[in-house]
Amino acid sequence: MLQERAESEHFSRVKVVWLEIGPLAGVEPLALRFGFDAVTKGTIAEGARLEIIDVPGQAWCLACAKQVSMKQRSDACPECGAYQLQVTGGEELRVKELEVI
Amino acid sequence: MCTYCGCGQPDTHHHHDHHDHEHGTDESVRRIRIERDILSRNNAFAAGNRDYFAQQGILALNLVSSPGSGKTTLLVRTIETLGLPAAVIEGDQQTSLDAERIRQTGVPVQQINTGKGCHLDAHMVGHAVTALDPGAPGVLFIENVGNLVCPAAFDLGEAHKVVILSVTEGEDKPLKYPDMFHASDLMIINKTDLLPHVDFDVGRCIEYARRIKPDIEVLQLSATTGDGLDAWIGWIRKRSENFTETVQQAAG
Repeated sequence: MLQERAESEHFSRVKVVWLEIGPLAGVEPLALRFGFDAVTKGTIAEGARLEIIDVPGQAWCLACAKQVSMKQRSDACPECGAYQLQVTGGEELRVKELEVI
Repeated sequence: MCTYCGCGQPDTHHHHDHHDHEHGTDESVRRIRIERDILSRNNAFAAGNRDYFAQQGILALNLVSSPGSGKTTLLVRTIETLGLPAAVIEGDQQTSLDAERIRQTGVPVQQINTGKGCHLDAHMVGHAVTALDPGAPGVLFIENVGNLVCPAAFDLGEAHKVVILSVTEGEDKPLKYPDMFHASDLMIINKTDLLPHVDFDVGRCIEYARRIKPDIEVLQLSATTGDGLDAWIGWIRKRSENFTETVQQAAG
């Protein structure tokens, strides 16, 4: 993805990568940081800083009929204790922004 | 599938060495908004697979589970009973043992060995479909690598993920591996013939699964004895009919 953008946007180095990660994305940030350093070696992003932006987990509670927060999939509604939750946010794993030269 | 992934065409996959010339930009630092999912590449291949399945009238089911849940045995019994044209993609890290078992039923089968990989992705499946060349409506079973974690995140273009859990595993697996149960539309509780011999609370298992996914459907069966198999066969036939109707309506 970075290599494609380097061609279309004419940059040669990536200095910072901002990554949005939700708590329901199935991603461990620590493992991701470790992997980031490994996979960027020898690429235009070698040595780049990885900035992780936490995105809140959210769900629609069918019982309360309102938005509630959710930290993990097995959570019950913090207000009514029901499990009738439809996830509405927090599954993101997205490159938001780059700082490049 | 090569028509859209570009595999085998030189200079399409690797774009290195393009920066041996200057673009005239200065060395000033700038920011670029990207807003793109990490899995967007896989998702694009999945969308391509989904289009192909719709055009061909193929109902694709992605079967996911732990290793040893009885997926292949269930698949063999299903194919023998289904009465619809079927094809199978088998995903394993190594060997073609499962593909051999499926091949004995007489349906076309394609083995994907992922090597060190822990899941199938949409690109691999696209190539396997090309090799299978089903060319006719029916059901495509994709038996994913036995793993309740990674396959949850990778859309293959299937109509439904079906998670299989056997009663020799823990009933708390839906809570321990929630992403997979959340991604699935149907949970099959397999090996029910062993229930008298194991400490597995079916009711609690279903309750846990519905905590994670309130509308998940549940079927209980034994692939070995055939108990409960009718409901599963009925589920597939109904989905296949609905899928064909939807595709025909979309085609006008």
